[in-house]
Amino acid sequence: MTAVAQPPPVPEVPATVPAPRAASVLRRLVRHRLAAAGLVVVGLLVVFSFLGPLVHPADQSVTNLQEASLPPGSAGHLLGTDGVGHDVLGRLMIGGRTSLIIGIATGLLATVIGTVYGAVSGYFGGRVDAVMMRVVDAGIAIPALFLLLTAAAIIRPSVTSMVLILGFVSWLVPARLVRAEALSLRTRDYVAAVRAVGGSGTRIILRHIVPNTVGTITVNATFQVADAILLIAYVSFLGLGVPPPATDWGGMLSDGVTNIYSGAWWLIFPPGLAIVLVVCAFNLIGDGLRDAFEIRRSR
Amino acid sequence: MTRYVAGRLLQAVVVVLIVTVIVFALLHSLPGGPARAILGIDATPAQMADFNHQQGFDQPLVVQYLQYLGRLLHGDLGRSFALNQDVSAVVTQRLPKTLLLTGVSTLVAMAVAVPLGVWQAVRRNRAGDYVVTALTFLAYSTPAFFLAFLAILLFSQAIPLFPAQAPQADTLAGILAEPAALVLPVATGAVTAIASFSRYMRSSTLDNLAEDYVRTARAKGTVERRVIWRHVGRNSLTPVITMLGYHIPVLFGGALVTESIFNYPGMGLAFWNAAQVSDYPVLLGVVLVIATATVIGSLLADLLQALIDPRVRGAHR
Amino acid sequence: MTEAAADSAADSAPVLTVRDLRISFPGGESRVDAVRGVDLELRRGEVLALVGESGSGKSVTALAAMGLLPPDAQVAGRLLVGDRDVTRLGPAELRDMRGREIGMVFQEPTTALNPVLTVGDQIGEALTNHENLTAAQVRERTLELLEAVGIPEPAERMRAYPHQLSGGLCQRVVIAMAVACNPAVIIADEPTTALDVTVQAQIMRLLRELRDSRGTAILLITHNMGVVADLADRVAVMRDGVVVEVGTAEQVLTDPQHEYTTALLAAVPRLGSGSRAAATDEPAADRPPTVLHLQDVRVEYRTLGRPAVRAVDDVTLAVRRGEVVGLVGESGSGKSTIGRCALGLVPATAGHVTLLGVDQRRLRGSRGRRVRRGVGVVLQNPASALDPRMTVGDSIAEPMVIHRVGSRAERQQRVRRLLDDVRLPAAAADRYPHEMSGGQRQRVGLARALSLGPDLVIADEPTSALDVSVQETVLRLLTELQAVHGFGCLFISHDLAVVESVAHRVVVLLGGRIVEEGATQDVLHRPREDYTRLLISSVPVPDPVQQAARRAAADAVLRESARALAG
Repeated sequence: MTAVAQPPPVPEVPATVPAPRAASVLRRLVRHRLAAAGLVVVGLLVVFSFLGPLVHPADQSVTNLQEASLPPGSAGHLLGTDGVGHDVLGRLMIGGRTSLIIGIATGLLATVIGTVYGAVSGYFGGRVDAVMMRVVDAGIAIPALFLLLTAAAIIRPSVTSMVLILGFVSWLVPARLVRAEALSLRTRDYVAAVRAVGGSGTRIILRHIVPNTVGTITVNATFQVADAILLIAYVSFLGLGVPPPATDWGGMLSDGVTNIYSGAWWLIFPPGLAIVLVVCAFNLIGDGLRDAFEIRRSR
Repeated sequence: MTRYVAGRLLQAVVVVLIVTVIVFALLHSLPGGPARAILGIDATPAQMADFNHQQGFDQPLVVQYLQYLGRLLHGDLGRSFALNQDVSAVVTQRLPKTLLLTGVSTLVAMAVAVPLGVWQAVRRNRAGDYVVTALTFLAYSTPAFFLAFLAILLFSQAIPLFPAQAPQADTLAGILAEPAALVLPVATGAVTAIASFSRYMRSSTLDNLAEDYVRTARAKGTVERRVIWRHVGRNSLTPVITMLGYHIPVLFGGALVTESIFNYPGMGLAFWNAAQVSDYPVLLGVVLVIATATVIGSLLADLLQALIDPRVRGAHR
Repeated sequence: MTEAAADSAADSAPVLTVRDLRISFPGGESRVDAVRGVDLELRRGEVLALVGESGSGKSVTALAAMGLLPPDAQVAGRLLVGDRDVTRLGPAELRDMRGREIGMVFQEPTTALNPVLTVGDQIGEALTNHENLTAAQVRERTLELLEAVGIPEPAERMRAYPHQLSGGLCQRVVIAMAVACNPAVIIADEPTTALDVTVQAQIMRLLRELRDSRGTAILLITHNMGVVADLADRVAVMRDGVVVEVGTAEQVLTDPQHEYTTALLAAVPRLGSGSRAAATDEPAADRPPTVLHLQDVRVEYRTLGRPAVRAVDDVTLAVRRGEVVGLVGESGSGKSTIGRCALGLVPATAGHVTLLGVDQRRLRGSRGRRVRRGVGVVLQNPASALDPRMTVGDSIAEPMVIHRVGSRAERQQRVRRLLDDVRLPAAAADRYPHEMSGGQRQRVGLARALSLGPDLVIADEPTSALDVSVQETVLRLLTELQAVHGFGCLFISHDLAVVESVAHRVVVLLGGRIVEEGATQDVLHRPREDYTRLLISSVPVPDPVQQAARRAAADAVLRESARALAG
């Protein structure tokens, strides 16, 4: 690669991101049966986690040892209670809230950081790209889970800190994906045409490169949410998640593990299945989106 | 080819250096800094100030970083206050075991995933493809620890086929001497990897099936099986090997979970134990070692790819 | 080509017979008919050209003969290779037939070969697919084949991978595979379209030799009438899935019966049909200002740790307002790099580029931006020339937005004017590029280039991806607009006939250096340099008699330069 001379970036008219085919993508997504099922599942889980507490008491501040370890079907406790008397169904709701908020927020944060970083790196190419990508390589070389546990050992986790840490771990993959696309997009004739008439780098990145990676970005963001929910579950499972009385599905599962041999299956399966369900749903949506955007096939 | 290898090696060294910077930054972001890391959580401020002065931790960061780098080059990763042992000793003891576990899982995963992905691509959008796709989605979405429980419940409790605890031997040979105890940890690690790799292999094969050279091979009367395996298979494998390189951190992450559930005496377990008691030297040492192993792993993946694909060799000659 | 060959061919039984062939594909609600009742016959030693524009069904017909259509295609009618009906064969019988009785040569030689297998392996496979041979026999036969298709140093090339060979050599390898088992028929689907003219001439020579030495019948699929005139005995013209005219090459090309054939032939730019240069060739005493000036420009591509590749070597050229300068050359000649360098997309390693009177090195920053207002660009690939996520109107208006010209309403009005200039309806402004044809997109590209009323337009292969009839429209539009607006134009093309029809002056490039330059008429009709002569004589003209003479002339040039090299 030769270093190509760039006019210095000059502030432009604020760039909007046009998504002209959003409607048709949505239509195709709904027609994609598995993706539609994924959308429904996510919708139901959102309603369950955020509106559920209005219907079913989900208050987790009091422990009630008299009602501890009740099996499902006990009066007022559809899914039973755990070792300290928390209602499993209610806990599932607030746990879902944590998992969904952290997952979605992380997915968005990682996507925004990764897209900007990747687009800049790919557009400039050459040495700038080489340096920027080595940093990404180094970040990726440290397994996310190891970094998260180290971080969790340093600062006591909260939802905000979890999102920030997860976000800083997860932006690397979208950065690399967007960079790869930007590298190929910048050689397109329309980019050359804009540069030739004096369009700035900022304009090209924001108006021409980023909008044309929107498919990749959206698909990856969906997968990012799925992966973030899994990661947060891992961290919580390993005992370093949000501290009680707050919880998430991974944390519930972790608490339930101690009861694996005592036959208290209702402490393991509901949160376990909930994780599988939500992660699977996001992955199906992502896969459907990939088809809807015709990534790869539209070559 | 030599130039390609040299260039790639240089790149790897740069990446490892950046990793040391990140770990160094982590070390300094600890509450109390490296003094806390070395003296432990019970140290008093006076002790820490004293220690900082002695160790030169009141010097400029750049100097400290260079000193840190110098210690690393001498194999000094610090000392664990929880285990009362050098971190380097912990690593030499446990890294081989983790490599064994992840290595075997990955080999099993590739051996299953590659043929499975090709098989799905050839039967694209038929019943078999849908069923396998559904299963891979399910497998990918199941957290490894949940999968491990299900495996233990099923194959250790309900049908006692395999022990629920991994081999506890000190040596690699001792671990290999108990193959039955390795089955569940290896399988748990492999299932998630199979789910990812078979997806990659499927889409890579689909892409290659649409290439012109496939049509050429068919036009000269090549048997379909040969078209698939000799022509498409090899071409489809290269992107999957690249993905394998990127996937190594995920594999190590998986090992952390698997080891802690099956109580397998590897790096992951040591790391987890260290995380519980804030044993920072072990945490940071292991991060550094695992990251270096990852860099070496993706380096190997790239070299393997260069062996398979003549264009990679040629382009950098 | 020869009368004798055609006569003896007529006696024997056809090696390929197509009877009432109908092919349809699923497309939306109903099925799309790609081929609607085609009849063809090909005899031993005969070359039958199947010509037509994109979408005419010619390639689909070829793939059907190989049994290589995608599974969702429906085929009806009869398709006999020898006496076996391809439409009725099972997978195993089809496989046995392919390569042994019928071979195929494809358009893109570089992608038609498997990148990870050596050339020798791939040719060897064509042999072992049908014959039981020992490793030594395979090696020997592969060597013979490589020699037969004219690949120098065959023993070494056997071990090469496709990416190490040029496009022309790759195509020879593909041809070697097609003839490996001596099939009676070869289907050649646009075999020279992706190649340079001089290489095209070599490949056509090779196909002719193989036909003569082996008696192989060739079904030649092409859109290039010159190739037809050079190689074909008979021609079938296809349009919308039916054959509209069949006859001998001479009759179809010189005395077409069907109006479509007439129109098709009329649209083909012919080298030697006279250029527009004459009138404006000698500019008046007060010569118009120079809009682009390259002085001793050199462009090198550097890669870390490797010697620099010199793409452009000491090139000096100038474009004045009101004139079109054609830049011609084959791939690797540096013509596109010069265009990119002039646009400032690639920096010059040495020399000076002066754009609209301003030195390129001062073109950075806001001042450079102002200068660039006077430049318009039209680029090659209609698929990537327009941002797929912008409406046509936004694309055309973008240069005005960049230079903050006019209000939103004024810009919209200008977009409508420009669309009208390029003969597109105003409603096109709201459409997206994927809703338009290639020719329409190139016209939008032209409108965008004219958006700021430029003094200089750089057009890089603006029509090379288009069908001839569409190409003609776009070229006519370009010349008209150029005459009206009077901008200077650097017109980059590999097609001499196209350049002849638009350029006042021509610059011929070879390996990054200027070989010859001058008024179009002089360079293209009275070339001084051997290379220019070779280039011109390699371009096939759509007239079999003329073409035979040109071929002889080209051979003479080659022999002459070979002698010169030897002496």
